[in-house]
Amino acid sequence: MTVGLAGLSLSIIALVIAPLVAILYRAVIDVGQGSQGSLRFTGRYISEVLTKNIYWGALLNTILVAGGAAVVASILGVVFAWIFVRTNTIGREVFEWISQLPIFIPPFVGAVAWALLAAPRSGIMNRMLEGVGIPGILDVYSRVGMLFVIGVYLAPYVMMIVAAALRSMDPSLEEAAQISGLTKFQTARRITAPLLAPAILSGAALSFTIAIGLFGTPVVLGWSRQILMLTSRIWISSQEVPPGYGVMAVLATYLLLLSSLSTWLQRVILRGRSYTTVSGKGYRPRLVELGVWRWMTGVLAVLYIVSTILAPICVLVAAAMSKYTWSGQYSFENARNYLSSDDVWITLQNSVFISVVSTTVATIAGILISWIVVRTQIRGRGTLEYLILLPISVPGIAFGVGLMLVWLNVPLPVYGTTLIIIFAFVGRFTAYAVRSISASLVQVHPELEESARICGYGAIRTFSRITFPLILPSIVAAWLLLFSFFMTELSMVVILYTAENRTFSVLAFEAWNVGDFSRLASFSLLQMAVGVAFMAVLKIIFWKKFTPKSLKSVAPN
Amino acid sequence: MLWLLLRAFLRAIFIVPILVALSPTSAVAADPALIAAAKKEGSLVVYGCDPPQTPIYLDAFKKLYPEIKISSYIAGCWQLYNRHVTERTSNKQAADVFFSLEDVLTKMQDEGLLDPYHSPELKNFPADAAPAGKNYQRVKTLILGIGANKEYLKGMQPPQDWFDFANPKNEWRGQITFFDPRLSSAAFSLLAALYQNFGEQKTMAIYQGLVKSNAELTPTTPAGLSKMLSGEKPLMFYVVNNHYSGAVAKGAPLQFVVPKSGTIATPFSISVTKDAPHSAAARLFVDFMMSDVQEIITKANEYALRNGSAPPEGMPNLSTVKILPIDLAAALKQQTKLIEIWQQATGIR
Repeated sequence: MTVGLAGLSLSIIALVIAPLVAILYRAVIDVGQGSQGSLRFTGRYISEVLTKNIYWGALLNTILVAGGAAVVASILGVVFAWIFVRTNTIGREVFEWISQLPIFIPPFVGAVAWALLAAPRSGIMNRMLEGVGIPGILDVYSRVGMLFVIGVYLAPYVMMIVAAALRSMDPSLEEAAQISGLTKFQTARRITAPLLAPAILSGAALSFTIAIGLFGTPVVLGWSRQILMLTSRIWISSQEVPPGYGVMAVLATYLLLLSSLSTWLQRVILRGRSYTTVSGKGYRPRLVELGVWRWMTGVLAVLYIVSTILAPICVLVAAAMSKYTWSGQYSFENARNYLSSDDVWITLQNSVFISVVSTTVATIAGILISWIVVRTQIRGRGTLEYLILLPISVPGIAFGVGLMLVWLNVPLPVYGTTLIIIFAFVGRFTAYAVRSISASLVQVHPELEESARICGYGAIRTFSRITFPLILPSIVAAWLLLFSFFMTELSMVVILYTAENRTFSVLAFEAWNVGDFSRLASFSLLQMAVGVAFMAVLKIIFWKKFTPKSLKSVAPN
Repeated sequence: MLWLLLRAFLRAIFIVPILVALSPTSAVAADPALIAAAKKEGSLVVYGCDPPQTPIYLDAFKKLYPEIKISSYIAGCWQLYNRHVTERTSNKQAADVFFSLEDVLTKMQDEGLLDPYHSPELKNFPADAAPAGKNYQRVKTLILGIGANKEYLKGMQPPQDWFDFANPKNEWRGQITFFDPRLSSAAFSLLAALYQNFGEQKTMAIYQGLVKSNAELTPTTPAGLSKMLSGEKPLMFYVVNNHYSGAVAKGAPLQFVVPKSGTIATPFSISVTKDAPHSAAARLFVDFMMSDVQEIITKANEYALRNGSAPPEGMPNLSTVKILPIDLAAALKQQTKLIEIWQQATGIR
């Protein structure tokens, strides 16, 4: 136990604390040039950021756009998670699958697709509106456009977390509410929603944190009208010669504070309440019968899927088939040519390998840390949780630079290898696994584990036979979430990669970098296909775990 | 019969070598000792900022020398520089070769970061392919022109010169993209060339005119190219000839206008780095870029610099293009001032 905790602490120091310190201490320390560079305290970077309007403007843009995106993502995520998981909406399983597709498309690609859909002059949606006599009013290059695009991209993440919580929830409380005379919608609003509060807030905080740290989307959509967020300013500083690490560090601190604020708010709201819904008492999950409304919710799901998911994907398909956007000539041959090189497939294999290894390591670490935080009384567990959650609010560029600075100075063969990318992924993203799994673990009443212990089970057997199966949906959701992140992550990889460990996102970025959107679209669709294949495999393997028999039997038809 | 044999013999000893020497694409066998040394090293690390083409050059080198394991890092030119300096400072230099635009190489030259290796292939290049006092050599060059998408012009006459932007026509309003010299080497080089050749006032007037015509700043030149192709912004303040040629090859109806007052040429040059971990492989790669790769450049519709190379299809011969002189070393020393001028003119911070 002690050895395990020591190993965990050492890993957190190496993969989380060291990179953060390497970049953040530059907010107040000037590092001289050269190997013998001197160190001295300085307040000039803080002063520069605090006294220049451009940085206040960036902070305001970040709060507005990320906050708005979190609201959009939460509303869409919660509503559709409920529709897909707890109602008898027509076609809900297929809809749930389709609604998760965007997470396997790199955010910057999604932003480019949306630019083609809703650009003021050339956007397809605007042209269609004009075609039927309505002025094209959609403008993706505005704050509202940005927050909508980011919100739509993040909605599946909220949906996955809330859906996992819904699947783990005992619906007897809802049944009691309905027996007491509440309508189905009153039950959803007054019973289900409050019970889901930890998951909803976790999803909202997660989407806000991802949104403030996004780099590609704000640059693609906000640059033209100089709607710059903190990450855009960090990017500008990173491009300076020498890089403006001081300003980057102060701006990264802003993001850390914003993320900490959202976590703190989440705790304040949940404080003093119990959210345990999975107890030792037996329960019989039931779908909410919507009657004729099941068609209406189905139509709502179709509208959501067509307008926010299928439309950008169709744009990608059309772009992949076109010689350039928009050539007016479409052929599958074009997309096939882009995907026929060895380079594409070797890079894809590399990307899948790195993603699977990193995801598995981060998920195991997430289970361990969640269990320590939620189930033990070990001293310092709060600090452990805080430390592991810290990096998610640090933009990838800053974390990547921090990691590079650390491993350049460590006499181990890590820098320039695949290992450094795995370290970067695990260090920065384990927090997501912790958030997802701990939200589920907190719903499992300890009496189940206590009963197992009374029956003679040891700690490991109790966990593997009792706790693990109950939180499995969250674990699988966390694995899938991390896998989607790693398959599409760019901002850290672009700093740490070499030709030998290049990932698929870098390949896509190189296509974007030369303005070849058709190639970029082909790559992104392949990336999405791989993601969907993994999702399908997981679904097949864990189908029985996700869907209790009683839930199936009460479903009509 | 005898005559035929004699003629074949004469062709072999006279005509073929002459043709080989004259051919812009001829691959000259590298020094066997250098090849042996490079193979013994067994590895090569290339830092390059030409994303579309560098991987193709590396693949061709790999095919020729499969015993040498190639690794590369491809990113923005200044990003490469930052990474290289950080690695050197930590005694973990990885780069053997730098393939970059010359603003970066000029800075590296000033800081003593380049090895003074000059390829024997330079004899097949014009004299300015090896700038005096520099340790790098020019492989290919890019030129900038004003870009337009003919399909979306709808009778609009695109600008013909940089100074047309200073007095923009009403019909160009909201139709143009331009680029940030803080982030783009080419944008910075153009700003510097305009400043050095025409002075501060005229340069500012051009950028002020762009703002007046509601031109849109895009984060990268390719982002502007995408907007030109889709018709969202059918005019580009400048388009780089390789991007233009790539799009035209796919059938895009683009127009490349060489500005009347002249344009800038931004050569891609190559150099072995100082203290390169694999110096023999690095030299072999430089020789390869100055020989075999010239054919690949021509095939990719770019300006190869080896004597006798044909210009890209549909593009003017370089000798007929008015190239504005630019002193990059002076521009780099004035970098802060130039950026301030640009910021003052555009109001962008």
